[in-house]
Amino acid sequence: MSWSARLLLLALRRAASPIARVVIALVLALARWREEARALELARLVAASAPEPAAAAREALWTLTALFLVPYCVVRAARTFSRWRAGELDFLAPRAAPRVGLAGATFLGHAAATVLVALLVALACEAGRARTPSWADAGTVALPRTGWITGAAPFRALLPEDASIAGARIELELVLGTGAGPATEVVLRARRAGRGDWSSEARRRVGTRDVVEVELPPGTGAVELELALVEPAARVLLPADVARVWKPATDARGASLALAAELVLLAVAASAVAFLLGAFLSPSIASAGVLALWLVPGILGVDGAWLPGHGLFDALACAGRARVPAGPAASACAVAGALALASIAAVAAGPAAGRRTR
Amino acid sequence: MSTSPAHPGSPRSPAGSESDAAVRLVALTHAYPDFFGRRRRITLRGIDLEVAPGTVLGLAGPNGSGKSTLLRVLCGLEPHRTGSLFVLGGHPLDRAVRSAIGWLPEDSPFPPELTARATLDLAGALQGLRGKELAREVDRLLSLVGLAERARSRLGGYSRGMLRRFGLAQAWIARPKLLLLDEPTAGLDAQGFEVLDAVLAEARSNGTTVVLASHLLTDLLGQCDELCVLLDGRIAERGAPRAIVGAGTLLDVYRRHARAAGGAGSSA
Repeated sequence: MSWSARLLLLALRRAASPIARVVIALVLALARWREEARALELARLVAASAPEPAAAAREALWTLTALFLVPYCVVRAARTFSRWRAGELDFLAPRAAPRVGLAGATFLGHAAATVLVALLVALACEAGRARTPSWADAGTVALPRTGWITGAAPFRALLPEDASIAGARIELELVLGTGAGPATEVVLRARRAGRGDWSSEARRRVGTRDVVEVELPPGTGAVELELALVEPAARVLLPADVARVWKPATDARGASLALAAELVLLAVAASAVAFLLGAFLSPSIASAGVLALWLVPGILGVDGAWLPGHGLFDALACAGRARVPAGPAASACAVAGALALASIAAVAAGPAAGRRTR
Repeated sequence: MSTSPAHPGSPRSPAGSESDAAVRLVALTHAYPDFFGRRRRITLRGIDLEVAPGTVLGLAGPNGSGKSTLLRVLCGLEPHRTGSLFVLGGHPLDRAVRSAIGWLPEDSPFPPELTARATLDLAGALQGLRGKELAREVDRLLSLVGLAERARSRLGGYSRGMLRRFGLAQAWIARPKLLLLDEPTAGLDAQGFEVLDAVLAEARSNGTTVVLASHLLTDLLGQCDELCVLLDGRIAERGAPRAIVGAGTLLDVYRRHARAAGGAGSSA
């Protein structure tokens, strides 16, 4: 076995410390008894939409995993260099192996532990479940900007042909305006452009904030959408100016894989920053710094689809509806990879490198 | 500024270096910096030192005299500030030179989660050993330092003396051309002293240069060909150990030099 594999295994072993193993075992045990959990029964009784127990269990388990795994990975990564500084570098550094290899293998071992835990949770979450058809998130389509939609003026939009997949569903998010009581009924219709009748239709009573979705009609070509309000005095708003497309999926269990990918991406990217900051700062300050850095795009109002973990909350909500999230964006994967490489290079070239003269 | 040249070849045959010495320091200084990189504490002040290949050199000096810092500079863990540094014909940060240095730190900073065998495997692999050669060397060293029966125990459960013996094994793995030992006998029992003797005997037969820092007169008299006394970051005296120490103790040597320095100061 090469030195890099040995270092990787050492880092993996450290990441899976005894306390981590106990917590993971508890999480997995929770997954085994998910169907019987009282909390889930309560959620089913209370929730207006009566979520599927399997979906609620999936959302609960992955929320728990995210709450534990991400901070744990960040603190572990931030502690790596303090351990080296405390003496371990004396053992590792004066050797023939290159410093970038030491830093890289150590970080990869840490990342491998994260992947392993996420896969174990996914396995525990989905073991014993039957394959059930579902809907998979296929992204969004831009809609024309609009103001308030009223009973007198329905909203109409033409979906481009590439988004108008037969059998897919289009979902609009709505916010109810004042003037029509606590809820109002909306009708969402769809038809292929140029056809006479509306071939599919969905009705829903909307209160405060809600979604309505309709199945796209068979055939090819662009699709016309119409959102109409039954009560003339009612008014609703489309807060996002986008429609979400759902494609048929063969297996709802794919949600766990998508969630695992989101979680691993966030944990690895945040760990990379913690790994670097931990080389200069104390582990606690480095960990707090990572949290602060992740808040910056949100505070500045920057659209953070490129930020690893940006899609995690949406993916959790998606899984809670028994649907399959889209998984991390390619830009977020690229950012996580770049952060990992930059951290490894900076740690290897900086604090771990040693210098010829000062 | 460093004046060390690029290492021209294998450190085992340092052809092309400025001298044939295993270690050559010219007016070398070192200072620990503060957070902003400014000099905070000067530890080595103009060290001139040349160590011939195969020599066992002892470093003696009171606490804070710069022994450990000098060893850390020699193995590349600390950068020198000014002067020249040649180790095995190159710089200790050159990969080829690093592969020919064995280093026993003052503490025993080995991964406590790993067994002795796994840690030696890692140390050997980091030094470039592979496969059967690595397995043979690990077995041999575990026997040499008397830890073969505890090879599968985690280092976190080792006593201080066992860790020092293990430290000698990890420093001697791959039979380096330069062996740097910082307080090798600290915490060793009688068996541990025998282990050190055995390692140093192998080093001598291998032609390895050894630099050994110690507070113990017995180490320095019994093991070293030459003794170097460091006081306040300077080499105060260098020569045959018996000639320097005579019938006295290391403390007598330090006091003699302190008096000489005081006398020189008052006469100046």
